[in-house]
Amino acid sequence: MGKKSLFYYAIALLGGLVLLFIAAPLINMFLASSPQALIDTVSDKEVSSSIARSLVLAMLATLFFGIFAIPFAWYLARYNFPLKRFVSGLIDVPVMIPHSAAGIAVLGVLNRDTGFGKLAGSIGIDFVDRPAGIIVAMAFVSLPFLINGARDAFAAVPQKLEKAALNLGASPLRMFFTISVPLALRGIMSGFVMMFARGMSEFGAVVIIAYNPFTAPVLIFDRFNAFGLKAAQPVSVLFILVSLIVFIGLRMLTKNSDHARS
Amino acid sequence: MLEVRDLSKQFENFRLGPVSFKVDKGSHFVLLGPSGSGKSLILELISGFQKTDAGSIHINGVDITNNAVQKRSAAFIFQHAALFPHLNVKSNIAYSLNEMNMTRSEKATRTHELAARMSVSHLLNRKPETLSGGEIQRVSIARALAADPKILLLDEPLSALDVQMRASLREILAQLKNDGITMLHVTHDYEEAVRLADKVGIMHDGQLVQYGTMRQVFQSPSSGFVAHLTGQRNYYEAILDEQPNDKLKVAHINGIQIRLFSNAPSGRGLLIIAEDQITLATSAPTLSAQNHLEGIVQSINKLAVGTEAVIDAGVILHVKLTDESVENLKLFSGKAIHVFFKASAVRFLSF
Repeated sequence: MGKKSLFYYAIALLGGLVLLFIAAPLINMFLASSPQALIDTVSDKEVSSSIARSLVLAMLATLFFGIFAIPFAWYLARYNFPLKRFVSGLIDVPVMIPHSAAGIAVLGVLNRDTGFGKLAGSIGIDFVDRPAGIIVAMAFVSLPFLINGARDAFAAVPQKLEKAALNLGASPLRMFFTISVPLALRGIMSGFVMMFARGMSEFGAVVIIAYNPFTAPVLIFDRFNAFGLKAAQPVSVLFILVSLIVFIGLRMLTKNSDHARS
Repeated sequence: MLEVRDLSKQFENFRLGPVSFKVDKGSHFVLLGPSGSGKSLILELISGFQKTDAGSIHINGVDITNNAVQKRSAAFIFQHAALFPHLNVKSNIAYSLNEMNMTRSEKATRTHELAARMSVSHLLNRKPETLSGGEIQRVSIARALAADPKILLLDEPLSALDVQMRASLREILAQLKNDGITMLHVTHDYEEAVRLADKVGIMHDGQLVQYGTMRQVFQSPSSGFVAHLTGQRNYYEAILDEQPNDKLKVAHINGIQIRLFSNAPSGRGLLIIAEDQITLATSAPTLSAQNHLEGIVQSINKLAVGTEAVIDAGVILHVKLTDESVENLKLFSGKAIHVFFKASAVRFLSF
């Protein structure tokens, strides 16, 4: 029993160190930002607009690319096809590569000199240093969270329920929207929140495509670069606080939607 | 009504068919076979959940082999009913009605009619997770009927239920048969087949090894496998007397009285006498057995283990004996013999 206790103490110690490792920099940053500095930051228009931009563009990226990703995730969960493992691996690539490299890759396709860039430009869409470019950069690095979350959620829906819907005369489209999506909703919403969170906090890919207009992570970097640590800390604290409020809100919404259907 | 022609499907370790059979309009056809014999696969092929390798499926003369699942008009009742867990009973029943050109009030009327028919009207606002197994299957059948299918495909619908619920659902299936609903029913339980089927098909290793009326299959099994699966050949249509407050009852077969223990209500049914619980004697000793018949040995057949004697005692009885008993009784074809069996060796299954 004594040895077992020692083992548990060791685990508690190691776990505590991990938590300290995560919490210490955050706590230090909160403590280092004086209330006055925080009040000044809140009233700083550049800060508030960059935070709002991060939130809105991340939400747009999540919603727009979700239209493509959710049906694709269902297909991945339900069907086997040649090169499925390769496709699944490809989906995870944006998460694994350096995000600055991801930004370079996206910029390589979207810049004004490429065929795609010219085509988009001809209909009035420009990506470089534009919100559209920020949306694409955010989506590129965060989409795997939505696809993987939704795929796992669809895979957990018993296939016989979908078969039953078809057997009752439903079209595949009606089956998808009335059976598959509602039953996978919790996982899909979780994927949405993860994608939104990841997109909102993206720096590396975004800064390559659009240094301006500032998103919050780019503004934090810019303040740090121009004015040093003390200037960047209150912006970071404010961004983290806003992010936490949004995430808690979204998580509660997800939880409520889950209760509503049970 | 339903016609399956040379249907086949090949998997890595299993081959189904070619299988051919017909289900007449308004009849209850049972595919009987052990697990893994391919009977459920036939339902999946008919419903379109699996693609056929060869052969064809026709409903009312129309080839539906390559139709999409939603365009087959063959409603599938799953063993563990696949009610939609996020919808209440009313929405489950009404699910297929949204595909039809009906007004909201017509849909509501139809839903309530079906709920009443399946005795689930009081459950309409409940979620499936709050229902018992029997209630779930009744809702499942109501939902299937709402789609106005040409045939019901029943995949072991009773096997997940307890004894009481089985009896209740069996009554519902019998009622559906009376209402003229065509059913193709898959089961491994020969009692289920005996009680419900007009015709039965026996599945073994992906093949339909015998196919005919219940009497043809049960009384003249085409192979040892069929005999083993059905288990019994002493199987007769009988009428059970009304004898309230008495568990020892009397059934009549061709004017012969058989005593048995039963809780079944009086009326028509099937009477089964266990082959291995019949005693033969050359004279008439005093025994505790409630049933005593006199008959003539028709034939004596050597089995892999022991011997079978076929006795004509007004009804044809198949009797399993040891070789030693055959020798002691000096049995031969044409010999007069006394037949005894206890009331507990007899079972009665109500229609």
